[in-house]
Amino acid sequence: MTVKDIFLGLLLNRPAHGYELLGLMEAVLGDPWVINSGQAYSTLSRLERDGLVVPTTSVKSYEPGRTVYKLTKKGRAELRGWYARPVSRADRLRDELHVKLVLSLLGGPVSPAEIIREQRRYLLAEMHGLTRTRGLADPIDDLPWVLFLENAIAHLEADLRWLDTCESRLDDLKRIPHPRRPSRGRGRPPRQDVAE
Amino acid sequence: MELPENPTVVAQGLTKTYFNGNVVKALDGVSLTVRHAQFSCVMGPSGSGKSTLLNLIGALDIPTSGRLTVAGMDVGRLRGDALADFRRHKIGFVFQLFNLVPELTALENVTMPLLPYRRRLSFNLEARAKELLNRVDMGNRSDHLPGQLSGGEQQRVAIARALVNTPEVVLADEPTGNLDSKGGDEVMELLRDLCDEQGTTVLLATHNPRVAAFADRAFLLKDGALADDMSLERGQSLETLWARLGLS
Repeated sequence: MTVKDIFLGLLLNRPAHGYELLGLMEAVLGDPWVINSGQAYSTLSRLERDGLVVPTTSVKSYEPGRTVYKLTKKGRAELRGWYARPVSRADRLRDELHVKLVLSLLGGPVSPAEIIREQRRYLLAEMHGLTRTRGLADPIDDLPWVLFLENAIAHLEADLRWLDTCESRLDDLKRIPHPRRPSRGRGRPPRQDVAE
Repeated sequence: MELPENPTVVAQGLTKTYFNGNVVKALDGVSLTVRHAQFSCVMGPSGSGKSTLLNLIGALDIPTSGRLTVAGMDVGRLRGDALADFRRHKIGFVFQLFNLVPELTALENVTMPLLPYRRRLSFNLEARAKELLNRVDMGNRSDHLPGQLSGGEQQRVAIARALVNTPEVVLADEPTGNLDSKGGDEVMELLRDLCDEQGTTVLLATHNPRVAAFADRAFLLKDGALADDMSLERGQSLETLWARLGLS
């Protein structure tokens, strides 16, 4: 997902110029989505180049000199496709903590128990900070922001539960023999298509 | 052990052993300190000794060995009237199952801890109870029975009851264990706000990190022993989170 997808989503309701889109994005999605006008206008240029938006003069109420954009049919199709695609979590497959724990089991300067302990301290402290921030937000006026924080808190909870699971299985993990390097024979590998 | 300023709870080598056919060591040499007005939690899985620790601090049970000082009193040696006075004046309890009396209204439940001593009080007990119920947003339900209240509402009444004697220490054992996450968060925010306002020292037992996140300090128990002790202060959590999500 990029700012491009967000702009397409915002333009579905009504045409807008870049400055309006900046303000709308921040108002609807909150602080993490504050970007500068340069990024906003370069995004709009790319959208126009790709045929997803087009300048329109049909809306008269905007300030002169500002280009107002609207979605094209191609833009609507692109937006529909984005909504329909489930959000991938593939970025989690290469989890650094998982890697650290596994490597530490093979033998490292820090024990797996120590890694778990430090990570738990860090995660609990993060959760503390986010919980305090959520407590300061207005549950009605700041709802999108509250939901963002809830998302982050839920992920931290899941991480902490996983740490508890790892800690309870450490003895079992230590008993698993170290994997051996697959042996590679010398010379060329045998041909697989030789007819008998 | 170097003591922080104004320690309200000081445990040194606290041990509690039960004999029920086998020897069960519920607490094994726990040493910790809780500062005045600090909001702390004791975390750990079931059986780690959290409830035992809270019961000892609240003088509901006696240590097998070790030393325990709460609000300046050597709790392990308290007996008779001194013990009753300690529990009545120094400690407020919040339990997982609310423990409200079903036949009494919310207001009557809040007055309960001090009802036998009302003639000796320097304030009007009902007025105090009403004020606390207002403070926990239950002022307009003060004549309701517990059965007419939701779990979250009952726990709010329980918090008001725990504070009616302006205790120095509030002990909460899994206070949100019977609530959904939204109700639990509301109760925790209330408990935190009220105790911060009154400068009450809080120690709550939980296995739930979401609840622990409301505390400033966490003690981690494992098999009756103190496995970790951490400060939860975090100033940069949002910036860290945004960087982690690739948003900065």
